[in-house]
Amino acid sequence: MNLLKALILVLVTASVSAYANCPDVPKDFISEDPVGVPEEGASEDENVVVHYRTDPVQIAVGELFVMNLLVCAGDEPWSGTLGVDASMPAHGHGMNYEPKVSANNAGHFFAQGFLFHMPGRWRFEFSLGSEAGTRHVYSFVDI
Amino acid sequence: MARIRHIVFGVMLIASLSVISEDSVVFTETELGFIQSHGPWPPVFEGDSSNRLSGDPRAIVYGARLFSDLRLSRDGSISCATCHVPENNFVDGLSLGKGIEDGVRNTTTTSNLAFNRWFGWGGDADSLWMQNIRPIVSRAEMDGVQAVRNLHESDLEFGGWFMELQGEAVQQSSDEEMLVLVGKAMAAFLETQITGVTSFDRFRIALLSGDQRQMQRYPISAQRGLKLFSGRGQCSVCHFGPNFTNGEFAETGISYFTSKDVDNGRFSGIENVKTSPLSLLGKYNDKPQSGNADKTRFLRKRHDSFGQFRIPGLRSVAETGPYMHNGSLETLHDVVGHYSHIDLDRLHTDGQSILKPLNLNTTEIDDLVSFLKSLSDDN
Ligand code: HEC
Ligand code: HEC
Repeated sequence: MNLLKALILVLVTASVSAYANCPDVPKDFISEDPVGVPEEGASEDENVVVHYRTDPVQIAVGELFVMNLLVCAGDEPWSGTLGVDASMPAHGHGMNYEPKVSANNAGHFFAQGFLFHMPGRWRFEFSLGSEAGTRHVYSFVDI
Repeated sequence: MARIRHIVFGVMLIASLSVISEDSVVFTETELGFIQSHGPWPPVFEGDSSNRLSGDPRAIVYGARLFSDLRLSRDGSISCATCHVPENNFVDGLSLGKGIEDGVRNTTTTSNLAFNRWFGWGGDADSLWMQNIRPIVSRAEMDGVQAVRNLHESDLEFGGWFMELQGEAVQQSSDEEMLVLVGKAMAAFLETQITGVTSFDRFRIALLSGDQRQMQRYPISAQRGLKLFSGRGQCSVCHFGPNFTNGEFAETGISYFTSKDVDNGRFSGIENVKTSPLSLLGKYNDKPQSGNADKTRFLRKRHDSFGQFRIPGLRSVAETGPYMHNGSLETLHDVVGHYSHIDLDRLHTDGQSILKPLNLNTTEIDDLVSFLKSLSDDN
């Protein structure tokens, strides 16, 4: 029994400490890993995770919204560049607006200028740029 | 025994469903979602923060007077109301607007503009007051900059309104300042022009609350039309929300050639709004700190905006023909027929995946038209 508790404790600490070095990932952030095979030479970024939350959380058709992000590469804050865009894959079109991303300290980013003009499935596209090249992370939302 | 009961129940269910389906239509979840988006009507309007005259009763009266005054045009022959005829749902009934010269675009109604994001067929303006200035300046429409000045200098009542709302006489104001004030006053007036509740709105409320009796008052043909509109026809994807427009732009295979040139629609619209000193990014925005210029700031320049036109709202649409940016379709039957046989080869933007030839039969065309007619105030 005690062993089990200890094991749980170790697991919990491990998962918390995974964020500890890339601090303050708020619980209500959505987290996404890159998809596809990492590009050559990108191995050091392999554990990169994009955490984000839109504001407002519930996206409404035709209303501008913004996004807070925290990008971590393993335990470290992401030090490369970040671009964010969105599109509707089923319709083959993107947004009529072009979000601008500003980098704050320690892997934190702020993006503004999103507007989803149709209901349905949208896909956020996060482009992570580093010396190793550009990697893409996707996240789907239904509105 | 249990099985027999099931069968009997099943038969009864089918029987009762088929009875219902004679006088009411069954909607899918997706269709209901779209129908829900088409109300409530009218939406709450919180005022235009870029226009300090928005909601100001003096400006509304002054704006209404400006709107119908012939002295706003160079030769005193044309007012805004010449083309936007108030007794005729603010349209002229012509294919193309006709001012001092012949125009190249169909006159849009000036009702329900309080809810727009962009103005004009190409979205050349990002505020209602900015849009109101264009016809005065346009040589082809009113060519009236000097005329507006003369009106305010010679007519004490107009001069007085100007003085009161601008805080200085028209003589002290530049042309641009004068036009902005006049545009804002007319915007205060036009914001108040909102169409009434329709039989569609009553049906929508009844449908969402399950009020069968009220639902039956809505013609069955309009119900079938609504099902097509929000379902197979995909009309609601673009004609979304309470005013039946998602506020953006699309291409629907209507020619963009004009008698003189090409009308590249949204492409020029973006260019104009990004560069004009009258846009919300300029100094005439009365509350830039509210973020009301963000739509313009983040607006993307895109090549596929060439030949796109604004998705028009459809309230009172039965009263505002002819249709489309160039007035090329005379009746609602023509419009629905156009969508029914749409030629995808003529679409060069990415929107193709939404629009498909619907190959509607004549009953279905009548149903869609009957639904569109139910978007008019029936009082
Ligand atoms: C010669 C006819 C004509 C006159 C006169 C005229 N308009 Fe228009 N109006 C049009 C046409 C045509 C359009 C569509 C223009 C476009 O898309 O560029 C339009 C569009 C508009 C719109 C945009 C509506 C929308 O759906 O976005 C507004 C607002 C407007 N006019 C206000 C005015 C005001 C205010 C005046 C007087 C100062 C005026 N108009 C005078 C023909 C006219
Ligand atoms: C891809 C977006 C899109 C879809 C889907 C769509 N429309 Fe439209 N609609 C538009 C645009 C854009 C215009 C104006 C086109 C132009 O002027 O060139 C328009 C114009 C109209 C008009 C004319 C309104 C006026 O004031 O001139 C009507 C009526 C209409 N649509 C009904 C429908 C119906 C019914 C359907 C479904 C069968 C439908 N639309 C589907 C985008 C769309």
